[in-house]
Amino acid sequence: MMNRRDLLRKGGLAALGLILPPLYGPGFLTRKALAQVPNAGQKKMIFIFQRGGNDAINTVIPRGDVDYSQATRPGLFINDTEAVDLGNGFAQLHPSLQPMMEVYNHTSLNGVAGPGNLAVLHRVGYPDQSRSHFSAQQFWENGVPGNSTLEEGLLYRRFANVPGFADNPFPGAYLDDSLPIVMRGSVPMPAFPASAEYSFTGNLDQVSKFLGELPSTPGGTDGSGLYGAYGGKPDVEGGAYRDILMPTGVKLGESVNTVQQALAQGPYVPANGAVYPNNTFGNQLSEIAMLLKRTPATLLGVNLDGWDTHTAQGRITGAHPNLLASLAQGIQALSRDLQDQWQDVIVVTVSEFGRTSIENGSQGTDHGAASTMFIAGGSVIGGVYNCDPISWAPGSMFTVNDRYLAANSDFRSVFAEIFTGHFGDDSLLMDQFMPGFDAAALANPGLFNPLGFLA
Amino acid sequence: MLFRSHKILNLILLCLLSTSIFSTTTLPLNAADAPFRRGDTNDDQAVDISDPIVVLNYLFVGINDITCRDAADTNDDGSIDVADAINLLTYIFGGGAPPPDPGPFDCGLDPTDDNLGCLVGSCDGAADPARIAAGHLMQRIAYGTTPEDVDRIIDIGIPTVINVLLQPEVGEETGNAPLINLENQFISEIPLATEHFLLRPNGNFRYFLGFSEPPAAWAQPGFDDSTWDTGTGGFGRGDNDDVTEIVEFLTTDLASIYIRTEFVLQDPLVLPPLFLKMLYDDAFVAYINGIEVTRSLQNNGNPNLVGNPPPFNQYSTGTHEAGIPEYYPIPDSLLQPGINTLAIQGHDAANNGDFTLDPTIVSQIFSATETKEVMLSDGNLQRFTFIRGIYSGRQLQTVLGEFWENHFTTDEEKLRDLFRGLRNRYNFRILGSGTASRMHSSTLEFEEYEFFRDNSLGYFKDLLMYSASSVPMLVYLDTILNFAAEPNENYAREILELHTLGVDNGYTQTDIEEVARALTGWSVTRIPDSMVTPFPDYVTNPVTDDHHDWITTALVEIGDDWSYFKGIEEPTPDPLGAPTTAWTENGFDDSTWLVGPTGIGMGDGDDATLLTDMVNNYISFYARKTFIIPDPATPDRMELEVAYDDGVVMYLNGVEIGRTSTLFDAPTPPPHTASSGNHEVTGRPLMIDLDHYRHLMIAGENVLAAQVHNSAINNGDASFLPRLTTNTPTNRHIDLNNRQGRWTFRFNPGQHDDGPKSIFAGTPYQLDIPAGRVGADGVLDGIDLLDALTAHPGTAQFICIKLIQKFVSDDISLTTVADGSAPLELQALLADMIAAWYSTVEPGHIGTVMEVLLDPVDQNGPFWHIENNRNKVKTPIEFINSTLRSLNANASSDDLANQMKDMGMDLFQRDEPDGYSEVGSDWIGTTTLLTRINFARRFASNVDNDYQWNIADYIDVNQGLGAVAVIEVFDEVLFQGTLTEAEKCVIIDYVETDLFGNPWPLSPDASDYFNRIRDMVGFMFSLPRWQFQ
Repeated sequence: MMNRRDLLRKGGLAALGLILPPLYGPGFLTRKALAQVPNAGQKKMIFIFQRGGNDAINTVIPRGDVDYSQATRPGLFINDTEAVDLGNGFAQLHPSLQPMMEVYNHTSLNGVAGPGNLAVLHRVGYPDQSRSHFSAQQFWENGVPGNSTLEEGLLYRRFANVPGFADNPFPGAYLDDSLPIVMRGSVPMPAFPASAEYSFTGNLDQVSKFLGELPSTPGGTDGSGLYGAYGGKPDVEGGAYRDILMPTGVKLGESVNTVQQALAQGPYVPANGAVYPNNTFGNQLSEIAMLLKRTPATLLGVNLDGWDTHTAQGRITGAHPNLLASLAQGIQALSRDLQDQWQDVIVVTVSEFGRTSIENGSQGTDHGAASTMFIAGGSVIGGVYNCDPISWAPGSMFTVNDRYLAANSDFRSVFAEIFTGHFGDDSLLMDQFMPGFDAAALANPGLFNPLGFLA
Repeated sequence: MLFRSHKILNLILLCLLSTSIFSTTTLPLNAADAPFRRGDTNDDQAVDISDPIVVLNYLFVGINDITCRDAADTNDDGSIDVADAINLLTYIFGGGAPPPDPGPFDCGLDPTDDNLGCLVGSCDGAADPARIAAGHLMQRIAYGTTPEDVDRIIDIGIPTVINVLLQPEVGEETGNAPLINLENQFISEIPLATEHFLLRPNGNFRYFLGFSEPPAAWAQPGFDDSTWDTGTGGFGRGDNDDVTEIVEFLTTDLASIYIRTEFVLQDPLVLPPLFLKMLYDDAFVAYINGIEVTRSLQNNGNPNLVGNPPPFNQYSTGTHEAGIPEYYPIPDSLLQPGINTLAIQGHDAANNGDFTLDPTIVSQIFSATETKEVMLSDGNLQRFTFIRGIYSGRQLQTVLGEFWENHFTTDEEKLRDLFRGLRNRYNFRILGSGTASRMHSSTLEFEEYEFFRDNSLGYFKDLLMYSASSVPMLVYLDTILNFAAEPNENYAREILELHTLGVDNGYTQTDIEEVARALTGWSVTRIPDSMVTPFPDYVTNPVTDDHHDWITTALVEIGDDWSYFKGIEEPTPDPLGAPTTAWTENGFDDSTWLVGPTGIGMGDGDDATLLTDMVNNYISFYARKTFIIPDPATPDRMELEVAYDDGVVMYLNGVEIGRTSTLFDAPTPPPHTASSGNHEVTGRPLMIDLDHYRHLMIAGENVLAAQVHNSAINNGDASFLPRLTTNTPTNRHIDLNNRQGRWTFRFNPGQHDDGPKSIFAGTPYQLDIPAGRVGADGVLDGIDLLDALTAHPGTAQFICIKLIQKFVSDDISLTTVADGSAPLELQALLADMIAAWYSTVEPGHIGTVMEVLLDPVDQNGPFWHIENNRNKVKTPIEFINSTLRSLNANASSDDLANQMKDMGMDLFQRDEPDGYSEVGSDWIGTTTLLTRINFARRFASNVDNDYQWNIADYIDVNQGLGAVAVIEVFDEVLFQGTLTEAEKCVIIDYVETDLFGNPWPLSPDASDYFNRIRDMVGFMFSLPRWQFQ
């Protein structure tokens, strides 16, 4: 008897859609047909949040600045010879970031050498940076620094603006227990830490019955099961959070369906010898690549936690170097694995703030201001930005409060470049995606100069 | 039966009609007006001939079936009379006008102000207001309702219920057997005792790997073990808890190890009772002076090794984990004054990766009555939020206990990591194993949680001070690293941002720095149980010194004369010229050696005897010193401490007792030409616990000998600074390896910045701290700070806002208060609560503030407003506890912590210091909802032994209830009868439709009756309504 793997081998991928039964029965069929083939040519984003505040100065080392020294960082200072040189006579990378150099040095893995697909952005922040994790993360996520009540995300606003977003059963997801603000909005998006556990109990028929069907009209009473309850009339009209919870319940059913169908295509094998870090973050990146290949998702996010290195940060080995290694291996693996759609993909990393330029008394660093971003993808013009002898003046490491690195680029300006350059969005939309964008750009023109990291 | 089918018909009819049939009424929570259909006098959801009959029966027969008097007032004239019956009859039979609104099809409230009222009915929102109010109360000040709660509250009265719950109670919950049973399962008690080591940890052993049977006399005192290997206890592999790693347990089929050591006693008859204190994995047999003293047992009481002795290749029956030491009494009859022999054979379980054998011997004097409570694991710790959440009668205290625990959140894992890494003065790990460090961290976290729960209705100042001085917090936010020279701002920032004022609410970066300075020197230490004082004494009158406080007497002091010999050649070569240790022996004639005071060496200016010819001439030198002791058993805590440059090997009476790591690679003994690795005298000294070598000592003259090596022949500095001491522990002293004692707050004056500080400078709340608070007085800086924070209006505001968020509504935050956009009624409540905060002599009495919030007498405050009913999303702990309480679950608390973690909440182990959110939007997500639904359905289906409920308590199979009646039962139990028609439609469709979409009536006679009802209850838990409280 031929098993599924044999079929895959013999029949090829095209046969797959025919041999797999729809997972959840008739209820599923009444939903919009799922595209088994990802939206080819659609631009996509992988968003990585380094939560905790990354020590930018030991990540992208300003070697050319005399203040980066044994004196300012007795336990954390990295020698010239230990670091990875970036070739601009000024900036170096922490040695743990070596795996990313494969992306930095090559356009793609097909043998064509070029300027590389990794942009290294130093000194990204915003005016008057918060040094509270909670506020700072919220500002990076909602895209409106200073607004600590807005819980709608800047990525949400950008992707929700794409036609068909609201009807897409799986527009994207965040690989975590909960959906962070950056992807929150009035239309819920799915969040789950691991695909395999993202399922309901019961066999196909039982799950199908449990999910039921949506009412014929939104809010109607003729639906059934979970869809009927969550797509129907609220238990309390106008009750608190019903506007979020009810569509979340519907999205839950739809996204579980999509993810389980993606998993049913068989074990995922990364392409081109990609090896993801052997940890939760690596597993999640691998799932992100799988979902990009097998579902209509165009936005996938994930956290890499643990950057709040107040104590025993680690110089060449230890907590911070280990995190950097995971990040670098992850980005290297993504670039290999996603070569089939590399031109469409953009990988973006952020962290809520950098850290104090001087090491503290516990071999660590405390909360600071500007930090680094890494941007990778087929449309990225590799190189170092904001870390060179021309833009980096002596004393830069102590510009804010005599303790921190000041921003040279506003993160909203960086995202505006990504939205307009990679996704082709109208620049007039930036103020909609990031309310207050135009005014901020007007008030701080120096922070809003495009860096030109996209082709 | 007929009645029921009639209702089903109506329900299904309603399900098929459009949504417009459901009027959008607001629920009256505390008013006597429920929505109704005018004319539907018997509330069967239709106006028909049965309705005028009810009116006529009421008027003329005296049968009162009217629950909704407004519905019977069919002409809306404000009274029920014969005209109402006539009106209805005309409408039904004669084409007369329908009854005025609301009705006859639509539900609604009475537009006319009359005295009739409507108590309860089948319309949405027409549930009994008293029951809704009771349910609402329990959703907030408790983890939801139990099936009995609503009736009980109506019986007792809401004001009384609240007043009782506002009175804090502490101690065991007398009479609550299920709770006490569970609590006792997960708290362990150990006897309080004074413990003293006679064979200290990390002793010096000879060992033999059991690849064959050792000689029969191996356990006997006279046995010659000189061919066995030497190693430091404990022995084993795996778990990171062993000093001498025996990899053969993993790489070969090795089943056993044999270890021997000697220890020296005074007359055992004058000593307190002795115990063999064992850490072992998986089994052992122990011998004292050749006689078996004890062997390990299985849980069933049978030994896990058989035979006398068990053969070398026998594996243990069953496994046992090291972690918490076990104590085995040693009969005095086995012991003798002077040297005794301890021999142990340790056995692994088959196919087992980890092994440990780590024996010590202690004396213990037990307290006659006292025990102390320990929490063995973080799993047990987490159980308490469930077993108390589900079973405790002190519900408000339990809810608030969780609130404060979360407000002052700490991470048990960070504390555990600290304990796991802890080393003693000889640089050995104290609690290598996860199990042991887990016990310490979980116990401390539990004590903190207990305080928060016991004092949850007390003064905020106490909660704040307890948190600031609790070991978990001192470690979690790095206060223990906050030194005068190098302040750490981690805690300073969070105490302002998260614990008192709220983010950006009236403080500056300068304030953070000043707060950090005020708290420099706040640290932790371990104290003997005899020094334990209650809160807040241990803060206001703190321990200031270190744990190993003792009175030191030097037997050999730095500066004493030693004989020494320059290593130009071997001091005592053998006939072939090879090195021997003859020069280290007692009785060796060193009269030809030079004599000079220590330190001996050159360079760095730290030596009294200068070896000016050493550079480029010789790389080593040798030294000897005689000391006298009357009895090897008696000097207390003998310790050798050697500051050195660059390497040294120490001998006692001819036996090597230790060498520095810089000479680990050198031969034994090292030749005079050996070079050492680098080490400076300012580095860590060589520390040797001489208690392990008492058996080498004799009464009278003993000899210490040393060979000291430089790193290179041309190296310019070398030093040897030895000190031999005996140390008498003071009452303050506690050995870190001692299981007695406890971790507590320590104020370390040496790390305190005693300069002046000014906090909130330039504001009305400016706190000026004077300079010069030295010694223990330095702790006053922190205490003044906590007072100032409690008195600061920002704190009252922030804490009251959080309480409103927790108990009333999410629609308020610091931001919406600041910009005035918070609902006015919540702003008014906040103002009342802040007034209550300051109404007591000491500000911040939480019980007083909570009474204002709950408004038990008038029940007019926002807490009672209808729009605040079921407006809060349950957090995971609230979801789990309320689900299990709702059906009186029999829950052991097994697995619940994992469920909570899957839902996104890991109490006691959160990395971030902000605690888990109280705001609903943070708990709405696809995975959050999925894990809730999967858990609740699993519980409802009764397939999990960890949480079960008894369906027969709700459904009597003999009553033959159909689907609608069953839904009514659980509507009442779970929702106080508030389900809407639309919700009932979805439920009945679910329960009465089969897997293929066909009608499938619920039959009380079928064997799957209960299972289908359980499945239906699981579906009810999955509804949006159950996600709210």
